[in-house]
Amino acid sequence: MPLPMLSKESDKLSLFKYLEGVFNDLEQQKIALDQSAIVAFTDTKGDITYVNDKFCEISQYAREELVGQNHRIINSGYHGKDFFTNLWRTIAQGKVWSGEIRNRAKDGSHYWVYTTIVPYLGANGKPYQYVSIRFDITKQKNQELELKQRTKQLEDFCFIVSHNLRAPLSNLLLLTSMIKESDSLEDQRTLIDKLAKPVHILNETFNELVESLQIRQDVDIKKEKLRFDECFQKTMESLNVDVIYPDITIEGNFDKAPEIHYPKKYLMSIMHNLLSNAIRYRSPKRNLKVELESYLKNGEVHMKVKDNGIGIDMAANEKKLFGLRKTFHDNHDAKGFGLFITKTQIETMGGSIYAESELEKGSTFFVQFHKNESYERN
Amino acid sequence: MKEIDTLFLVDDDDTYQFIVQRTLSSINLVKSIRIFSNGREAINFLESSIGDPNLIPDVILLDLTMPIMDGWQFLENYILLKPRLGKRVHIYVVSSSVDPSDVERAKNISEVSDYIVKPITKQKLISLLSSLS
Repeated sequence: MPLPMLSKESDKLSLFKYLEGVFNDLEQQKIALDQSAIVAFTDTKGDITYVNDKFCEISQYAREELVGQNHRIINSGYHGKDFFTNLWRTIAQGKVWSGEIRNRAKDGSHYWVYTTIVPYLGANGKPYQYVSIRFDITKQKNQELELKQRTKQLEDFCFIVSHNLRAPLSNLLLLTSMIKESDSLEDQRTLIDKLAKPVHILNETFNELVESLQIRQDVDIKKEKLRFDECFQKTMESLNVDVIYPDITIEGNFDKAPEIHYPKKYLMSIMHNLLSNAIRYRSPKRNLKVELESYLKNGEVHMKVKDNGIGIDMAANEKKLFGLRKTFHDNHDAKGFGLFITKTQIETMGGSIYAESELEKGSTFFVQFHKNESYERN
Repeated sequence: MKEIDTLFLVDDDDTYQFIVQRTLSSINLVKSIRIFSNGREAINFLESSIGDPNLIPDVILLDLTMPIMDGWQFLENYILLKPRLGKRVHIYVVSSSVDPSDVERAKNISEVSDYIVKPITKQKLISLLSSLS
């Protein structure tokens, strides 16, 4: 609309009409914005002066709880200090900032928003307030994070193929060429004997690779109602604990959470791997004692496996604990696969696993079997 | 061709230890070889050998993935020891890993002369050792 000239009385009426039109347009734009985006206004200190309904809805706060509060109220602590320093520097200079932010709702859950912050500039060119316009990207962000995790797992697979298969394979290559070059029958015999170990390692590595690959194809694996004590009993039998390790005490206490809805194959494998891990890393200084316990936390079934073994130096090995590449102790039989398989199985079912440990004291592994629904917003 | 006095092999794989030992003894380029099954053992030996250059090796063949102390941790500890060794040591990383981030990481450590992907054949060993002597 062109601005009318105000030379005549009649022009005042057209000005009024013009302004009415402008206000009407603005009102319509505000409605459109409120329908689509999460909107908040803050002053230059970041104190909230206005929030729209969508802001209240996603943050789970009432309007009265937000207005007057600093915007930090929804800070999730995910982004570093530099992130917000850069944001504030940008908008304080009167420039537009946009990016992805993880915020925290009132119940402690997290949500991701694509955010654009536009400064309102005063006559002196300095911002006097900021408007932030956000869109909920939680779903996309979670998918992105999941995709990254999958990619990481695939990369891990390349490492096993390259490393864990290459090591025995290159030994075999060298040994066979030595056999070929040797002209003494006795010497050839010695070399042939040396073939057994790398062949055995190759075979075991291959089998474990196949097992962990199968987990990935098990997306629709059948869940059933399982009793922890029954699975525990079967695991103990398959490990043949009583016969092979008479000095070892393994106790199961499943009173707090006796049952779980889970794939049987996985529960057995998780118990088997955590127990054989405890047995493998028992301390030579004391008889091994392992305690398995199922329990409820936040309404979800958990299990912990506590041992008094040699422990893991968590400071040095935390990140690699469930990886494929390493073992943590001077134990040549350990290939460090078991925990990787366990982690993959648990994560496939939406759960998680972590460990606490102290050298020479022992380790405790904590398993959460299912996704904690109250913290998911998908 | 001058012989190399001492070579350290730091690797936890006993089959590989056997192979390297046997190959070296067949090519007569190294007078003595010492084997360590992890970085910790090798660092301990180096620490206790400070002041005795005869015990310090000329060449170290270093694996990356080892229990107790891996190749990276060995290198961190070695860098701290290096000024007190009083001898030029050539370190070759010999690993089964083809992960580019491992190769890059090793190349960025000036103490590492080269990164060799297993298997290290007799010919490779000969050309490597004769380039030093």
